Amino acid sequence: MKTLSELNQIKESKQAQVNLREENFGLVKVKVSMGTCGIAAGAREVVKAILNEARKDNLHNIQIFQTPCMGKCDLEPVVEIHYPGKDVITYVHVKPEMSERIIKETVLNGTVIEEFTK
Amino acid sequence: MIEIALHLLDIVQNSIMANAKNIKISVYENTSENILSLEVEDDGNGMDEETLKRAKSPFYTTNDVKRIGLGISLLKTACENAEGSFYITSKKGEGTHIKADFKYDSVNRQPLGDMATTVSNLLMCNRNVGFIYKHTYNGNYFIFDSDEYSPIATEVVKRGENVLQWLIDTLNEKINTIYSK
Repeated sequence: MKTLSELNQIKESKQAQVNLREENFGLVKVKVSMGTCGIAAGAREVVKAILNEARKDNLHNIQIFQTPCMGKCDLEPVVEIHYPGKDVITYVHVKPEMSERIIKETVLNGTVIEEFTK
Repeated sequence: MIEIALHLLDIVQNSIMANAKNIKISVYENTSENILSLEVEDDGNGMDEETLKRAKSPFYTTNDVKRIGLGISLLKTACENAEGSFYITSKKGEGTHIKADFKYDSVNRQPLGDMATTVSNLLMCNRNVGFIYKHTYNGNYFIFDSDEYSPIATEVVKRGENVLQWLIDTLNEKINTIYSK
């Protein structure tokens, strides 16, 4: 029979583990620009590819948002990754085939893919 | 846009930005009536008379990073180019209703396009919004209610399958059925 303090310790360590998991996956927000310009440039296919890639890596906690035009219409399709603790990463001229690297490198590891930012 | 479905995707973004909780999408195709009609009805914030007048302008937007808002005006132009008509009504506090009619056989009418991917994208990225998608072709129709499909989608996730692909396949199957009857 565990003491109350032993039970509290177990609770705290488990809570820390859950927080770490959530910090790594639950809060990575992927925002795809879905204004008229983005849609005309192919954002629908980019969203589909990102959703499929996230599913392949079992990222059930990835949050994908469709946002209004961000004002950079000539750079569409635009994808922003909000990785906790880091500056927003903005990728431009995004094509569906870029989604694999975006998920594996940026969403999972927070790494910026330089060539996608230009 | 190269597909009417992409205009739909664009217009529905307006409904979402207007905080709609329920969005009704209707595609009505009838070759003998020579019409393809796209309708979007939402229960979002709606617009007062003054705003509604301005909304049809390509220079009106609620987006604060730019000065153009092309969604409504492009759809209006697209259906009018296809010898059709555009209707928009709105009531502040109640919602907005848009109807774009295209002449079915007009050479200027774009193809309807990939409705299954379009609607699936909307469902996957806006989980808190209820969507009802009705598609009619020459009298045959189906109604897809996202509320009804929610529990089935949960089962699909539990089986470890790809919900997006399942949604796209389900919708394509329904669409193909009404086209082939």
